[in-house]
Amino acid sequence: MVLLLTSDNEMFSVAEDVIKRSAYIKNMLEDVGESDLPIPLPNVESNVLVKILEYCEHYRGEPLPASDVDPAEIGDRSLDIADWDQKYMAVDQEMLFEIILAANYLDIKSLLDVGCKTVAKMMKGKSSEEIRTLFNIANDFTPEEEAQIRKENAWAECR
Amino acid sequence: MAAQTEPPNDGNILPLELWGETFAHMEPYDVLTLGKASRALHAVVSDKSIWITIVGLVCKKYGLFKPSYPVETLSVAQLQRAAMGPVLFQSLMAKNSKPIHQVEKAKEPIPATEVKLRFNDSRLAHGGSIPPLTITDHHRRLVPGGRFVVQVIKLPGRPGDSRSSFSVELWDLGTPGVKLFNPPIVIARTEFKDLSRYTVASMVVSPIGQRLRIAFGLLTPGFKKGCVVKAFEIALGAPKTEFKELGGIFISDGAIPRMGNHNLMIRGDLVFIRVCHAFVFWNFVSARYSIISVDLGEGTLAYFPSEPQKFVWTGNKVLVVSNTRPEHLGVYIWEVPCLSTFTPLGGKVAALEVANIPFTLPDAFLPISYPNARSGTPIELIGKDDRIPFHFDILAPETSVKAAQPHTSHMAKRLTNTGVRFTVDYNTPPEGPRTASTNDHNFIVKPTLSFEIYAHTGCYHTPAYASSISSSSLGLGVLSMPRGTVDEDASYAYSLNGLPILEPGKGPSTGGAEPSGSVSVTRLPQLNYGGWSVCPSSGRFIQERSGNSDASLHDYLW
Repeated sequence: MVLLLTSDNEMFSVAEDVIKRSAYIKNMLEDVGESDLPIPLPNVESNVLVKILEYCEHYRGEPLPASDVDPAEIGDRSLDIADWDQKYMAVDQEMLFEIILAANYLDIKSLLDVGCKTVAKMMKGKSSEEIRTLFNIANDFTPEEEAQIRKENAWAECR
Repeated sequence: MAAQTEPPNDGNILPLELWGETFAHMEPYDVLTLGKASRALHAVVSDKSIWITIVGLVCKKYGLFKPSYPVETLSVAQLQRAAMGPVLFQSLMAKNSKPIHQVEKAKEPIPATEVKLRFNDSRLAHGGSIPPLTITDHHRRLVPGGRFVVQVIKLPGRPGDSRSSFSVELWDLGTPGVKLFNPPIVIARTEFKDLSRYTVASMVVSPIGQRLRIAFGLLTPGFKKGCVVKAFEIALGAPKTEFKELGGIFISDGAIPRMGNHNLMIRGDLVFIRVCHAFVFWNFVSARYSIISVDLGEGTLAYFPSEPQKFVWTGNKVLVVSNTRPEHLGVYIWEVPCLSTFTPLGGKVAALEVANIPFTLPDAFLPISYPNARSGTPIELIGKDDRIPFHFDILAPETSVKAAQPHTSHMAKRLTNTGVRFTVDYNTPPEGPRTASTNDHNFIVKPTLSFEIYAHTGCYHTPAYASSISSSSLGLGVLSMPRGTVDEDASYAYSLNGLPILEPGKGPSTGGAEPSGSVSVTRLPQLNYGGWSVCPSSGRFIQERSGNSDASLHDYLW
């Protein structure tokens, strides 16, 4: 078992083969070997770690992806998301971004991919106004700046 | 609502590196739109490294030659234009389209730029000492990406040397996305003599990273019919950009009347050559070959006549969609033998005889049940010719009444054709366990959607376009119609509306049912003389001019 300490000081005890989906932890375990000391995760809160572990648990036993997969591989670009992953990602936006940040920090490539695909899918075909609403972003452009950007991008619109 | 009580954030919801990951899954247009949401996001999407990545992905997705876009020297705006090329061309086609029943009213998009290109650089070929020579014969391809042109030209003998020679050349037109002002410049050339009696019949260019591999077929007239295929390679960015000959092969078939570009393919070290009686696989590195004979012993009547555009070569399989006979309508699958079983090309002259070789039984045959199937029913492959799953459309006129009318006038009849799109895929159970050892021949062919199209008797598929247009992810096929049906000979790109655009190598998710789609058409510039070489992703079309080596470039985007 591996001990993990979250940023809000919660301790988790996790089976090694579950958490090894995180390349970060896998490498750490390989570097320092067995240890009774918990691994501190100062960038991950407990509620997020619960979610991350749910993912790792689900894919327990599946082969780990090769570490040197080229992200520019064509297959990676499709927005197809497996059914289970879609349900897993049906969380509020804050949690979605927390998952992406944690997946990046813990180096769980497949989860990071699913997270980014989910965000990409949310933005697909949306207008900038719809994106503002979606992510609760304030429009901080001045009218002049907006006009300037419209001008810059005119070539992409008028065809 | 929670969202209303939260303070708006400034758009910095993800760090830059993670936006980069997300953009890899987004359409370039969506990325541009995101930049219009807030200052912070505008700063994120104005980062050059992000667009370098996106252009790289676009090149990969559409099979474009990456050096077409010298990313380091391009501005962010130029990179954005390069990334958007495929989508812009697609919307240009959509804007000019008409519903299929108004095919006669469909307009041809107007090029943004039209310039004459001169490819005959006499100084290089002849040291500037003699005036430009007439070129008796040439073949030219626009390299996917729209920037480079490869050409093979036949030069007649010179004073003191009556032998004609062939010149293989790489030309640079300039980066797409920028208006073309400068004449093309030659980057590299090489020459070979002999083969005086031959003419250039076909050429393929295959981008592999920074390299281009080029294969071309030369034909000779006369009794001893055969073809010579030569392969060259050129690496851009190498210390010296020069052509390297990879090898040559002579194939004697006894009957090679013509040879289209679709009869040659290159993958890695292998060249696929389709001649009347056989598929020849030639490995130019080890100078070995393997033959799949499609000769049924019917003399010069090959099993698959010269109907093009129905070959898919993926991995170690060749899949052929054949419509030769209604009862044989289906997909034939041959496995390419492994290299160790290839035969070395013997002797000084790398020659092989492919006639009179017993028929190679296909490893699998997937019949297609299709109403009204008859010999020669047009088939068009959609998507890349190197991926599974792939799609093809079969188009058959409703033969019952209209086609039976006597030809009282020269006006061809307009018919309602029923088109069905089929998908060929690996037969993997959707929820079943993925076993490591999949059956090699486990393919299925299934109809995925149907559509109706008005066309005319005598309409035909246009391989010169189809290979580029259908492979460009536009979800289009091309039909040409002869004079008399419309005001003049015309080619039309048809696209299916209201259906997801097919990604290369991706099947539509239809959930089992066969949806039907409406069809719209856009007119394309008509093929004539030497035809066109096109790169829809960059908006560039090159039209050959008859009689000399000049051409004109139509840039539909810039």
